[in-house]
Formats: sequence, structure tokens, C-alpha cells
Amino acid sequence: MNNSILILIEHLKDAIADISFEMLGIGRKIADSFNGSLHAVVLGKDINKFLPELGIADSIFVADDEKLEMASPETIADIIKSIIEIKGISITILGGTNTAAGVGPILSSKLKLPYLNFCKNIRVEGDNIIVTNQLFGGKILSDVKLDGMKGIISVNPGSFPSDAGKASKVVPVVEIDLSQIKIKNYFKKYIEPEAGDVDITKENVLVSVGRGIENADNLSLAEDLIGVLGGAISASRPVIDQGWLPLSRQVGKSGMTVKPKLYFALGISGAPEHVEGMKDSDCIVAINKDPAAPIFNVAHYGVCGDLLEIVPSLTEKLKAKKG
Amino acid sequence: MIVELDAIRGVSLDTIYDSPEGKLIQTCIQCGTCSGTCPYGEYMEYPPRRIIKLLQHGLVDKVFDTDSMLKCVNCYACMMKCPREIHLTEVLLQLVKEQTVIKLPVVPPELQKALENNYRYGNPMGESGRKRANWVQTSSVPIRILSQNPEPVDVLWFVESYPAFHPRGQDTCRAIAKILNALGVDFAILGNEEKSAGECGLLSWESGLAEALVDYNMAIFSKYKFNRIITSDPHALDAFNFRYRMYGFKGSITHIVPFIIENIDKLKPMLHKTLGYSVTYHDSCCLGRHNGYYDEPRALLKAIPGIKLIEMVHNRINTLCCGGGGGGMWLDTYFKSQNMERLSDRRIKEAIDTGADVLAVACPYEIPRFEDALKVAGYDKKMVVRDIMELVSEAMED
Ligand SMILES: Cc1cc2nc3c(=O)[nH]c(=O)nc-3n(C[C@H](O)[C@H](O)[C@H](O)COP(=O)(O)OP(=O)(O)OC[C@H]3O[C@@H](n4cnc5c(N)ncnc54)[C@H](O)[C@@H]3O)c2cc1C
Ligand code: SF4
Ligand code: SF4
Repeated sequence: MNNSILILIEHLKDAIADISFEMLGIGRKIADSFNGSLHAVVLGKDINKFLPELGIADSIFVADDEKLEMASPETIADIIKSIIEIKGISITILGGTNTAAGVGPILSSKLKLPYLNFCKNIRVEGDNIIVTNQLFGGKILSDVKLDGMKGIISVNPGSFPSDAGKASKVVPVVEIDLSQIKIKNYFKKYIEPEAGDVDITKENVLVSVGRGIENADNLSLAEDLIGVLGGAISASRPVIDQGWLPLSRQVGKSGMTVKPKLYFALGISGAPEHVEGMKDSDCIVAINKDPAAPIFNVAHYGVCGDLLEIVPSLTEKLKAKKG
Repeated sequence: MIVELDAIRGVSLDTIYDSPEGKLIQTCIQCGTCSGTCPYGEYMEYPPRRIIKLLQHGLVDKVFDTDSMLKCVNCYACMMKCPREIHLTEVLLQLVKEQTVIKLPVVPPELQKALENNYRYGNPMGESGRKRANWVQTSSVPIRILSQNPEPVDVLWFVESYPAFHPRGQDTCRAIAKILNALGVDFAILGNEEKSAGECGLLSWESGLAEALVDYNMAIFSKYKFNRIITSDPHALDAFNFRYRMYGFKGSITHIVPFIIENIDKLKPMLHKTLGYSVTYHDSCCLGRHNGYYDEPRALLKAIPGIKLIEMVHNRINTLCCGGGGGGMWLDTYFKSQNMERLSDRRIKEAIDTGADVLAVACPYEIPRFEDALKVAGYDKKMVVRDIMELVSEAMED
């Protein structure tokens, strides 16, 4: 197989993960520009149901085995290695996901192939494949040419359109020979995290209260504001310590780090331990009666005054504006 | 009673009995003093005495399946009170701690973040290393930074992360700079070249990270010529005095309080302002119990005109840990999830009971811990937390 591309298909709980279609889409594009071929590999239990969705590939390698459900990186790497060696695959594309994170380095070291991580883009220039990688958490982009068109690429989810990878067509299926593969670790059961409280790190608006709120009854002031603005209530540690709100609502060093679009700090002094958890919010509005409160150093808008008076009137004004 | 280096170099739990420390451990009389004195002993499934018993039976692995040693705040109470002088906190517990974290199903995120930050940024708070010396611009006296002026210097002041980055730590730094300047000390700092010394307790979770920081700071030290190192952070003092020595560090290191006491005769005439506060002093575990500086902080406080010193119920060797050591600074939420009282909240009650106006401290962790504890106790309007250096500096005002 000259210039062939292999994609590791990821699936979780009876659905193919979107990253798989992203990889298939870009894989198809690259393969076509070289007149090459595109192949998918699917591992797991009862995987036949997925195959009709993978019509964009030219062929699909499958291994259907109970012990391959959520297989370990070592096992996946051993299987892909055997495909690469037997079929002469040139480029393997993996998802930059928890599932595949361990696979690339193992393959790379076993096969002595270059491994390009955090890939944002893949393009063809003349006879070469150029891969754009994100370095330093995205602060630097580097273009890397794959020597000899051989290597392993792991792509960041969300880098390519997934629709480009979707096609339903029947394609040839090749069974993988597992006789040489030793499966040392295998998956036993999937444990769902307990359904918890609101995840304050995911809210666009947080109305955070501090000791200035004075007592638990006054939390309703913040809740009324949320009723108009949307979002959720969060707090500084002393409020949590009082038991007025659960620990999952604590913002700061020993709580959550949050970056909402709008962060209200009501009666929060702005201790460094609190600020550590909210300073990167897009817009910070502080209401505090102490003009010297350090929260005003990080706030974009500050109101110096009594929150017990200001918050209700703000809520009323917003309500009136909304009609 | 700091342990002899050769007693512990290269010792692991498997080989501990072959070491001099192991011989000492075998003399344990199971008196239970260690477990009884431990501030979190009642929350540990395996407090020190039980750990030793299991070790004697080859069953120490059992301890790793519990979070017992995650709850050890490195307060040195057990070690300093053990009648057999077993170096619990320095040796055995460190080894157990590292195994505990390896086996822990989930490392508490706060602790993990602090370790990662130390690795990536050289400070536990995750601040940019390039801002480490920013506080210098707010100093009222000039401060020499060695990378800008690498001439030999008498005293290298190792500032450490909390003093360099925490706003209240910076207050202490400005006070120290003013005092050193007034005393005519020839001093300099490393500035942005400095990285966390590696608080002993915190890094016992991660000896690889500890080694990386030790290597880094030792390499920086070797670039410059100086006679001695001072620091205001007892955890750094401990790191240099204890862990760095295992890696060949030979320098002389002193805490700022005993250093100032060396110069007390010169300082006294400069303390012309009468402060008129009643003050209670909290012995930090590292400075007091581990390094034996009990008298110096008190002598310095008494040198300040108008200060009345009142002792808390637990003082000197019996001091109660503020809960910040051993990584505790990054485990508050974990402890809370285990229904454990924050030790700073426990200690502040004793401070409040003295009726003092000021709680004086000599460790940078203690300022935020106790300021917060005062708020929790609803006493923040009545008592303030001040580093001893801040008090000295205030007494130098006209
Ligand atoms: C190791 C450690 C970890 C910590 N972790 C966290 C953490 O994760 N999150 C956290 O929040 N804290 C944390 N803290 C605690 C932190 O140091 C502060 O104690 C805490 O953030 C203070 O909370 P606060 O701002 O609500 O209270 P305060 O500091 O007491 O501030 C109350 C503010 O309300 C204002 N106010 C009072 N009444 C009114 C009114 N009627 N109208 C308007 N304003 C009013 C006052 O002027 C004051 O500024 C930690 C501390 C330590 C030592
Ligand atoms: S205090 Fe010392 S002798 Fe007593 S039980 Fe603990 S380790 Fe053993
Ligand atoms: S060092 Fe302190 S916290 Fe740790 S076991 Fe000993 S007494 Fe307990």
C-alpha cells in the first residue's frame, strides 16, 4: 500500500466519537491528493454496528473481542503496529484524546517513526505533508514536514470539520489476527461519576458572594439577580465554611478556578487565595463598601457601596430593562 | 536532633532496617507518644506508632492503602517528643508519604496543582517566574539583584515564593529590606533566577520534583560568591538545612530572626517608636520545633519598645501546627472533605484567648492562614496578624 493513511476510530457507549469523523475527513483529503488510500481500524466488542458509518474509508480493519473494549494504550499500539508492518501503512492518525494519548509515543518508539502531537492542521505542499502543531499550550504554532511521508500524527479535537468524514457505504472489512497480541490489561467496568451539583466552571455568569452578604438569608439577593441574568451562585471560602453553600461552589485556591464571561464579586474582599481562582474572568464586577478592598484591583467595574441596597435595585433595573 | 546524613542517604522502606535509622526504629517501645501528640492523629487510620508496628511485622504496605500520611502536616511534634529519638518526621514518615501518594487513587487536585506549578513555574501558586522580583520596585530601599550585579556579596537573601508573590508576604519583604539596609548589611537577592527551595514536607510527595528544584537552586548558588544565606521562610530554612545537605549543599543558612538577633545591639537604638501592643507569638513548627529557635523570636519582640508578650497555652516545643506544612497548605479542601478541623482555626482560638491585639508570626504561610482563621472566628476586627519583621520595621518609624 503506497501512501496509505490509517485512522484509529474511537467510540464510547455505542457511539462513534466525533474526533473519528474529523480524522476520517482530513485523512480522505490527504489520501486523495496523493492518490493514496484511507483505512480505519475499529477495536472493541460488538463493533459491527459502527461499520456502516465509516463508508468514507477504503477498507476497515476490525478486531471484535471482549478484551478490546476500551483497550489499554499498549494493546492498541501492538495492534496498530501489526497493521502498519503487515500492510505498509505510511501515516497513522490518532485523536489527541485521553483514549489515544498513550498510543502514539509507544508506537513511535517501537517503530522508530516520528510522532507529531497537538496537531491543528495537516496540508499537502507539493510532495510533502506539512503538519501544524501547537506548542506551549497554543502560544506557538510550528510547521513540521514529515520526512519520507511516514509518521504518527495526533490531532487536537475540534481541528477539522467532522461532516467531511461522514459517508455511509459498504466497504471491505479485514479481520485483524490477534494471535500474536498479548492483552495484559483489560477493561472491567465503566463507572459513571455521581451526578453532582452545578459545575461552576462551566457557567457563563457567576454571582459570587463573600462575608459581606452577612447571613444565609441574604443569599436570596444573589439568587434574584441570577433569576434575571442567568448563571449560578458561587462564593468565597468563609461562606462555604459557614455551610451556607456546598463546597462545589467555592471559588479560589482551594476551590474551583473559574473563567466566566461575567463574574460578580459581592462583598468579597479579594484575598489572593480568592483572586487566584477568578482573575481570568472576562468581566469582573465588584460591589464592596470598602474603597480600599483589593478586589477593586482586579475588577473591571467597581461599585463602592452597600450590596444589600445595590443588588436588589440592580436586579429591579435589569428586570425592567428585560421587560 | 537533626538526623545524621549518613543515617538516611539512599534508605528506602525495604532497606530501612539495615540503616542506623532502622536500628533506632527497632527500639520503639510503642508508647504512643507520637500518635497522641499528633494534631491529626485521631483522623489517621495508621498514626506513627501503628506504622512502626506494621513495619516490624513486614506489613507496612497496609498503610499505603489509606490516606493516613496524607494527613501528616510535617509538624515534627511526634519526632521531637519520641523518647527513643526516632526521626519519624524526617525519615520514616517521608518514605511512607511518598508511597502513599503513589498509591492514592486520586491526588487531591489542589495538591497536584501546587506540585505542577512548582515544576512548571518554580512556585506553587503558578505565577510567572519573570514576576518573582516585581515586589522589589515597591521597596523603599535599594535591593541588589545578583544577575544584574554579580559582584561577591556577604549575605544572600533567599526570598522564597510566598514572600515574593503573596501581597502580605511582600509586606514582610519590604520590612526585611528596610531592616537589613538600616543595619548596613551587604545583601542581595537572586530575583527572577530564584525558584522555590522545595518545602520539605510538600516535596516528600514527589522526590523527583524535589531533586529538580535542589539541582536548579544549587546550580544558581554556584554562579555567585556569598558568605551566607538568610531566608524568612522556615520551610526553606528546613529544606536547605536538611534536604539540600543530602545532595551536598555546604552553605551556611540562617533564618532572618536569629540573623537579626546577631545584630540586636546595633538594631536596638533604631527602635524608637513605642508600639504599645499586646502580642502573642506563634512558634512555627520548622523554626521552633525542628530548628530550635524558641528564644530568638521572643527576644526580638521584647526588644521592641512597648510590646507586651503573652504566651498561648501551647508554646515552644508544644506549639500547635497551623496546618500549612507537609503540603497542608494545599490540602485544606481535602481535610474539609474528611471533616477535619483546619488547624489554623484550632490554633487561632488559643491566640484569641490570650486577648492580645497582635498575633506575631515568623513564617510566610502563617499570615494568610491566620488572617483567614480570624475571619472564620469572626475576630478579624479585634486581632491582626503581623510578621515579626513588620513589627520591627514599624518600631523603626519616627
Ligand atoms: C491556604 C488557604 C486557601 C484558601 N483558599 C481559598 C479559596 O479557595 N477561596 C476563597 O475565597 N478563599 C480562600 N482562602 C481564604 C482567603 O484567604 C480569605 O480569607 C477569604 O477569601 C475572604 O473571604 P471574603 O472576601 O468573603 O471575606 P472578607 O475578606 O472578610 O471580605 C468581606 C468583604 O465584604 C465587604 N462588605 C462587608 N459588608 C458589605 C456590604 N454590606 N456591602 C458591600 N460590601 C460589604 C467588606 O468590605 C470586605 O471587603 C484561603 C486561605 C488560605 C490560607
Ligand atoms: S513515640 Fe517513639 S517510642 Fe513511642 S511509639 Fe512513637 S516512635 Fe515508638
Ligand atoms: S509530623 Fe506532626 S502531623 Fe506528621 S505524624 Fe508527626 S505529629 Fe502527626
